[in-house]
Amino acid sequence: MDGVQNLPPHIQGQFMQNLEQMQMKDSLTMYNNLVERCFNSCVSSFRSKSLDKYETSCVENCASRYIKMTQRVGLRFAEHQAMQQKRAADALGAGK
Amino acid sequence: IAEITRVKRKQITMNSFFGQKEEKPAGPDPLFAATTEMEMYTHLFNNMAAACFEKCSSRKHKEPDLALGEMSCSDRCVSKYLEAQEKVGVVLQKANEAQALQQKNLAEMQNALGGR
Repeated sequence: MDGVQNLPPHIQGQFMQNLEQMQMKDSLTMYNNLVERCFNSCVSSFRSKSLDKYETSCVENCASRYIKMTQRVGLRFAEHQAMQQKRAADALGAGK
Repeated sequence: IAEITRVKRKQITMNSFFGQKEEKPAGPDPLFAATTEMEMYTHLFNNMAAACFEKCSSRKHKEPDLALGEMSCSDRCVSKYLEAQEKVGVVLQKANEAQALQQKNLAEMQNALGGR
């Protein structure tokens, strides 16, 4: 994440704005992907116009599990990044 | 070694846009670089979450919570995915270098032929 930290301050504001826009776009994209994923995995018959009880609970469970897994993956990813940065800092310190 | 591959991975992402060897692009627009880096991390995260969900959670979706096995599976999935990304980065870096060398040789050959 070096590129982000090395931005001069007056550009950082613009970057934060870009970041907000990206996050908004990304959350909408995630929503669409989640719907498609849960639909593909839970709904297979088209006998009626509305979701039956099994499909409803399946879709809800699928969404909740995906969100929980995303949160957990994010946690592990952040840990991994922190460890890498620490290793980089240590290597830099040791090199001096 | 992990740190070197991490630096090289950044070089790969930056090389394709700037053709430079530096990690921090001083010349070209740093805002673009930072935005692109952010986008890369976003894509990485989304792909990783999708892949791990596909591989680790059962299709039945009977429960709204993750089972213990699924949780440990997702932890291992994350670390394997990131390790795979580093290894792919190394391979890409080598391919880039080989291609650059090839182009340099070609240019030198053309110069030698044109000089006669």
